[in-house]
Amino acid sequence: MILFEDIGKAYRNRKGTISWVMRHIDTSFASRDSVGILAPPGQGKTTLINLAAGNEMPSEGRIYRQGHVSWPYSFRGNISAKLSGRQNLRFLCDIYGRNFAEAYDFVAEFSDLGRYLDKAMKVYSNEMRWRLSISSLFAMNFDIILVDDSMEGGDMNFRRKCVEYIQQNRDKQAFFIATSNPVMLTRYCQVGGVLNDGKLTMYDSIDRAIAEFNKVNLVLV
Amino acid sequence: MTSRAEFEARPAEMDVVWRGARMNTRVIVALIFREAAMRFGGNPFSYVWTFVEPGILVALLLFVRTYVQTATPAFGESSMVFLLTGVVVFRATRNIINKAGRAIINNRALFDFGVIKPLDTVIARTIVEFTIWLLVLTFFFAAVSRILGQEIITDFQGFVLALLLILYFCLSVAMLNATIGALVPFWSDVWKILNIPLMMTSGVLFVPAQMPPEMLSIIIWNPFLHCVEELRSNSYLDYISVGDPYYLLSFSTVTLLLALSVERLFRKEIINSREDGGEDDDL
Repeated sequence: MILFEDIGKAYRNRKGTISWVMRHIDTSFASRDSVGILAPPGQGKTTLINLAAGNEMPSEGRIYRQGHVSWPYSFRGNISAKLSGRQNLRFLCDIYGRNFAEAYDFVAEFSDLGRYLDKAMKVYSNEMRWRLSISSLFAMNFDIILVDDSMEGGDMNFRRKCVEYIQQNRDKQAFFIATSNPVMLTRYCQVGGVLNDGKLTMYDSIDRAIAEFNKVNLVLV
Repeated sequence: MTSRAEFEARPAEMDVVWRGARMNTRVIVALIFREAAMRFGGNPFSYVWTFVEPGILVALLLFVRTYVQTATPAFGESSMVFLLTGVVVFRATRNIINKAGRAIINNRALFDFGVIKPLDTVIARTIVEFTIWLLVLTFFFAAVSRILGQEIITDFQGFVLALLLILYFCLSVAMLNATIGALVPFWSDVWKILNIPLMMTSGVLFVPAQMPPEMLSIIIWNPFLHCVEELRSNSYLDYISVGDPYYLLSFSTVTLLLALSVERLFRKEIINSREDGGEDDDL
């Protein structure tokens, strides 16, 4: 669970003027239900996810986290091309204090990488890197999985596997999604919200959130 | 949605600090293993090269000393020991600083991760590089003492203390180089230029105590000189050392504090800095 306590985030542009990306955000996210935040492009999706992940410090207010919060779903900077798949996984396990043997068994089974796991990431294809990255994310058993914009990666077979895994572990893992794609909300979330003009409004039902989002996200030609 | 009541049982302040410390230790240990795995890049020759390279250097200098200059060794019965304690220690110190000083720039991709902070990578890399050089030093000292049948380390406790002092010095200078180098790319060029005078005045090739006083009053400010002197004073019986451990200690502490404050003030800029691609670290 992530609690935002009167959060504001501002950036200073080159002229020195301060612009607020979001302000007075005062809610808690993802305790048991998966939360989806809809925002039009450029309204602070990534900032919101980075704040939740702890990559960025809020300009005002405090953030409390309970349980293990993942890295953003499509983030791959933690995977080094010089190391083998096994070494990369070991590094992640060390950082998050997980049991390496269990995680390795899971990744070997889930990613279908086979003997490639012992080769340097340099020889992996792009699609195989996605498979390793996403299977290690699931192997860490996070309580909350952060998703920035989209959940793509891997071939069709692997994506199907991911969706199945998510369906099976719905009660163990909650999602915190910030996206501009309403389909993601209907597929994965129970609670929805709309972030626009620096204000976050939460709705009890996904349908209402999507309806509100569609009002905001209109591109008038 | 959840009620705020669930957060009533917030952990006490002390627990938060303890958990943070444990987390940070875990991150640094993980980074140490990662750095160690990445250091040699799976090439078996680079393991050998780490030991061969300083050997070649010492052999070359020894050759120049005995055949070209036709001079007696600067100090002690053997110029081998003199050069070893000088050249190898200076190069070790400088290489640790150079390698660890690039830790932030080389590991930039990791900082979008949240849990890893820039200075963690510097600490991890300093420890890895220091361990490697400790092995090299042990190898050389053991080899020389075996060949010459001479005791090199006279005061073991002092030797260990000197090594710890050098580790502290390397860590703080590497932190300063890493933070300022990430902020001001120009700094790495300044550091490269500084390298030559620093080596010349570090007492690698001469005995600092035999220098004229005017000269000594200038070179005494060079912290590398103190590193070399500290290690030498524990390896010779009647060596007159000008090294001052308190100078090294205070220099390192001031540097460390400066580096920490620079990191805290400009953390965002440091994380977002771009790599300039300079790869040459050896003179």
